[in-house]
Amino acid sequence: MATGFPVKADYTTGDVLSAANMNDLSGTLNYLDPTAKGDLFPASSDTALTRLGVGANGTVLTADSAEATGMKWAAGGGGGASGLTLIKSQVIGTGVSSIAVTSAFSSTYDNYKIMISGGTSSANNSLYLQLGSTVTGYYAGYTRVNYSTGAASLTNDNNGTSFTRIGSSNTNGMHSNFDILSPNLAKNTFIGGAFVDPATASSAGAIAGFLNDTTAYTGFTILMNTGNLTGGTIRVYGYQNS
Amino acid sequence: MKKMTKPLIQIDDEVREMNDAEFAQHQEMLLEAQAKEAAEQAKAEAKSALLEKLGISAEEAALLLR
Repeated sequence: MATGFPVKADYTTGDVLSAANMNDLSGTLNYLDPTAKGDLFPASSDTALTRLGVGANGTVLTADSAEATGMKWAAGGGGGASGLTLIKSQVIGTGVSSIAVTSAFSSTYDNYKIMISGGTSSANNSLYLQLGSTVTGYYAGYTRVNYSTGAASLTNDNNGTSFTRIGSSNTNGMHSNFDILSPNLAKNTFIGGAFVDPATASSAGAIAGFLNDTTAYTGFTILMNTGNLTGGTIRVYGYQNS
Repeated sequence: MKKMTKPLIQIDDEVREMNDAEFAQHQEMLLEAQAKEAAEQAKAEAKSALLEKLGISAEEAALLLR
C-alpha cells in the first residue's frame, strides 16, 4: 500500500471504499477543507495535512524547513534565488526638470540596476545623476563614438556636481541603463553603463565612474542639462546578494 | 492662474515648482553643463581646424587611429 495521502489511489472497478482506505496510516481521517481562494494543503508530517492560505500578491512559495508545512509564502527571490527584483517604479510627471526617487536603496541589496524609458523630453538633452543631496566628488569617464563619422571622443567628470551622462532623451524617446554598486554601503559608490543619444548625428558610448565619499544613500535624483521630461518610468532593480 | 517662474521638480509622485534653494542648485548644475558643453565644442572646433590644416577628413583621421 502506498504511503501518504490518499492511502490508496489505484482503485479499480468493483472496489469498495472502506474506512481503512479513507484513514491514513495513523488512523486519522485527512480531508481538504478550503476556506478561501488559493488555499493549499501541504503535509505537516507523514500522517497529516494542513491548510496553507495563499500569500500576498507577488510573493512566491518557498521551501523553509522551519515552517510546520516545510514551506511558506515569501517575497520574490526571498528563497535565495539569484536575479533581479523590482524595487521601485517611478512614473515621470509632465514637464519636470528634476526627479527625486526616494527609498530606492537599502541594506537588502548591495548592487542595483536603474533603467529609464518610455518618455520624451522637450529638447535633446543629457540625463544627470545625483545621489542623495551630494553635489561634489563625482568622478567619471565617458567614451563615445559618433554614428556617422565613427570618430571617438572622450569626456569626464572631475570632482563634478553630478554624473553628467547617464542617459539621453529627445522628443522621440528616452534612454538610461546603468548599474550602481554599493550606494547604501559606507563605501564609495560606483556606476557603470551605456548611453545612447537618440539623434542621427550624435553618438553612443560607455560610462564608468565613482562618487568619492562613503555616505550610505537611500535615494537619487535625475537631472538634465536642458529642457524637461514628460512621461516614461524610472525603474530600480536590486541584484540578489546571494 | 499662478505664473510659473521656476522649473518643476518631482519628488516621488509629487510635482511642484522648485523652491529657491532647489532652483539655485539647478542653475548651478546648468551652468556647469553649459561650461562643459562649451569646452567640448571648443575641442571639436580645434580638432576640425587641425584636420583642415592636415588636409584630411574626419573619416580619414578615424582610419589612422584604428
